[in-house]
Order: sequence, then C-alpha cells, then structure tokens
Amino acid sequence: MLSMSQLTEIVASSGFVADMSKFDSAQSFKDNDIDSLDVMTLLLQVEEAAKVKFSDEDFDRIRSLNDVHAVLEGKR
Amino acid sequence: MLGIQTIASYVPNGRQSNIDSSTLAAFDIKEDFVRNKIGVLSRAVKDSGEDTSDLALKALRKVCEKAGIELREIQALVVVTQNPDNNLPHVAAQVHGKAELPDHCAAFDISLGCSGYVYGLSIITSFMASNGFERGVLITADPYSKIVDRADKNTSLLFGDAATATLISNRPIFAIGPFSFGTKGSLSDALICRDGKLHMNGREVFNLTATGVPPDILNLLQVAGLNKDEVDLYLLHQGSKYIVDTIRGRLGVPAEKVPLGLEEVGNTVSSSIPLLLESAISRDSITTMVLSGFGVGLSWASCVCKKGS
Repeated sequence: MLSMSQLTEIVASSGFVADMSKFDSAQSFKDNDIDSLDVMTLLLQVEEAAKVKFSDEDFDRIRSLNDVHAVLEGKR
Repeated sequence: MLGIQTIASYVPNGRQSNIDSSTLAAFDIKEDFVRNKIGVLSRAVKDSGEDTSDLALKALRKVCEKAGIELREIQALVVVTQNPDNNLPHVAAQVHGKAELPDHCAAFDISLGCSGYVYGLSIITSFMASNGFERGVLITADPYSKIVDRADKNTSLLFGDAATATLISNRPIFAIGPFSFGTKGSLSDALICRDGKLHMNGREVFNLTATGVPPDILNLLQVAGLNKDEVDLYLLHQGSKYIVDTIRGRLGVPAEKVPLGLEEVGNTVSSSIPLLLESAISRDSITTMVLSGFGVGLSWASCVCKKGS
C-alpha cells in the first residue's frame, strides 16, 4: 500500500498543483484548486500505483489526500 | 476493394452555449474549466421538429450530392443510432422510405454509441463484400438532446446533435483496416438511458477509456506493422477535451496529431469521428490515420485508415 509521502509524490508529479509548498493534504482537493476531472486522474494514478480499485462508495468518501490514504489503509 | 470514397455531414444550426453566465452559474463552474477541460463552448441542437431520421436523411442527400451519385445507386444503407425516432421500425427503413431508395437496397441499424462508427465501417464493408455490393452508405445519427437531462451536470454540457454519411464503394480514397474491438459489459450501467434520461458514471467511463484505449491502439499499430510516428492523425472520439488529452498523453503522441473538433458542436457520439475524418480526408498530406471510438457498452473499437485502395 502507498505511504502518505508516496501519495504526495503522485500529486506533485501530476502537475495539477502549481506550488506544492501550499498543498494541504487535509484540505479538500477543491480547496487545493484541483478540479473534479483532475481528481479523477489523480485517483486513477493512485489505483494504478497501489493496484487497487476504488468503489463508488470509496470515491464518495474521498475529499482530500488524507481521505485517499485512509481508504487505502482500509483496504490492507 | 471496398473503402471510404467520401463523407458528408449535417450539423443542425441550433446552438446552446456552455459559457453564458446563467449556465456557468447554474453548474457552479468557471469559463476556464469549460474551455480547457470540457472543451465544448457550444452544443449543436436539432430543431424540435427534426427527428433522427431527418438528420440522417439530410446527411445522406449531402453525401450523394458530394459524390455525384444517384440515390437509386445505393445498395446498402446502415444507420448507427441508439436514439431512433421510434423503438421500431429501424431508422434505416425510415430513411430508405423518405429518400425513396430502391426496393432492392438493404437497410438496417446498428445499436452502438461512440464506438459505433468504427464498428459500422467493419460491418458495412464486410456485408457489402459478402454480397458483391459496390455502393453503400454508413450513417451516424444519434441526437442525445432527446435524452440528456438539462439539469445533470455530468452530461448536459457535453453532447451535441449531428449526423454524418460515409460513402463506401469500390472506388475508395481510403482503405480501412485492420480493426480492433473490445467490450467491458460488466460496466454497461456506467452509461445508460433509464426512463428516457441519460445517466453517466463519469469516473468509470474515464478510467476504462484512459486505461483501455491507449494499449488497444498500440496493439492495433503492431498488428498493422506501423509505428506511432508513421501515423499522420489519430482521430479519437471527442468525448471531452479532457479525455482526448488524457489518451493523447498516455499514447505519447504530439498534440498536432490529435485534432479536436468539439468546441462548437459538442460530443456528437458516433458522429464525432466521421466529422473529423470529413475534413482530414481532404488534406493531401494525410495518408495514414488511426480512428478510435469508445463509450456506451462500455465498448471500444479502433482501426487504421490508409490512403489508396
């Protein structure tokens, strides 16, 4: 499973965040200025890296990168 | 040898804007998001008095005029649609009647969405070859304005109405094939019309498309003995600008080889690829193309399209 630093690296390498020093993993993606389509790409990249599949329920729960980490932990 | 002789299209004059202030406010989105992510600034919308067979008929008349052939010369008429005028009869029969095509002309529909044009090319050429036909027309006409819920943010800013007609003949300008097809029926609910309204699970459609289409195209190129650089244009179904950009990025091909054509008309379902192809085949410099459609099913289909017979 992916660590928080690995998840942060996925966000950083996506190019969706102009200044990673201002990225807050506890805040929603929307509040980090990541739109809904880019969130889909990020979550797909996480699925591919972690070799997991997020269900619609998982997707509904996920608002922030911390949420992604929590959902992944729940899949251990 | 059968192949594509020419293509014509009918795009209704009606337009609905995606960037007027009321639309942006209603969906709580910014113009920048519409321009750079959805990619559809306005959607083509048919007149309320027009139905699917009317759009199809107009495209059919235009392709005959463009090719200089008479309607009576058509031996097969195939319509790709999932939004017919009525559940039955099939739209092809209605168009056949309105155009007064000869009794010996075969006419049938294909029920597919955004992969339908590529599937249709394979079906009509195989059907014509096995029956010794020399002229057939493949029509796409799937006006989603009939089923889109205007209040649904997932779909109401995407789809536009259009029809195209492709003349398949034994005097082709472009040969077609090889083909590649695929289906993920376990995700068929991800794009579905229930009680007359379209529902889309955008994440499922996006994920399957982003992960399935690029390897399918690369596999097709291998079968065709082509490398990526030898392809002049990749004509991808215009689901949204975002999905086209995503596939292009995963394929690793430059933007100039992947044209966009949805800005002023929207995602026209099975018509999006032939609309791009209509302008591409008139360019002398274009000799090799890859067509790839994906959507309802969920299904996908890709093929190579090469100048010459």
